[in-house]
Amino acid sequence: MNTFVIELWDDEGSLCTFYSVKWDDAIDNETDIFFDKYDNIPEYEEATGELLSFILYVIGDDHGAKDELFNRHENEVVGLPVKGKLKLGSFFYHYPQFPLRIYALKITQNIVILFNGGVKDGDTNQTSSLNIRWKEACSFARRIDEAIRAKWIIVDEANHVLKSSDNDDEIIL
Amino acid sequence: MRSKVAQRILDKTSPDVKIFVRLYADIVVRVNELMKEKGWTQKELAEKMGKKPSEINRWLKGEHNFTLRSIAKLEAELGEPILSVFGSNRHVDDKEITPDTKQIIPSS
Repeated sequence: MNTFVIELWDDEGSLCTFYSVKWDDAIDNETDIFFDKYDNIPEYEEATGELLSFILYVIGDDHGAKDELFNRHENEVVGLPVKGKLKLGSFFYHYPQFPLRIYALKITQNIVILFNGGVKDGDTNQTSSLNIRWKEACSFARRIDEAIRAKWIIVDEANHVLKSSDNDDEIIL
Repeated sequence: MRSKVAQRILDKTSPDVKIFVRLYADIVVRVNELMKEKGWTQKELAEKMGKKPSEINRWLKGEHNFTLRSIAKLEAELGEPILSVFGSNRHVDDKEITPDTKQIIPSS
């Protein structure tokens, strides 16, 4: 099983801390890979700035990860344990025909783990080219969910942070 | 701490885009909060506004861009302010919206 690291992505917002995941042999985390890729495609450059502003300002500073801002794919999360309380979905950026999706796991209203994403070019994740990203996000989310329930990851709700069971900021799964 | 990639993109994102994104989310969150306060479903709100539930769903689920007219209709039906413009003294029904505090006080 491949190893990945959960690393801090942004903690400058007053309401929500964001983490990302990085494969053990990768240089960049999945969220940076997503934003860097679409920022460099002229067709999606503006949308990339909008989505990033939505995440860092709206979720991070203004509202936190409220349910109405988080699009939960209940019917598609077949891989997640039913006992888990975590929600995997994409941020629900409220704008018509917005082309980009980024997947995220809501740990609490103040802690979110961001994954990769892509262009939504189908009605569902299964029919869209996002399918592979969705499956990958499910896989990350399943392992994170298991680690939280096994208490290998400690959720510090008061300080909006995640820590390993030995109180380390670096979390390796 | 902020991702360097994120900071690079934010630095070149125009201020109007940032303002638009926050304003749009504020409206959606505000409308959802007012509906929760009143215990209304989207279907009930649609019935009160004489609209199809699918149309209200489009407003609140991002498939339709809010217009000033649609916001005005929502304010009128919900009876509470959704948008507040600095310096204005608007009334929703018999309530006055104070621009500095955004609180609602009854009109005398």
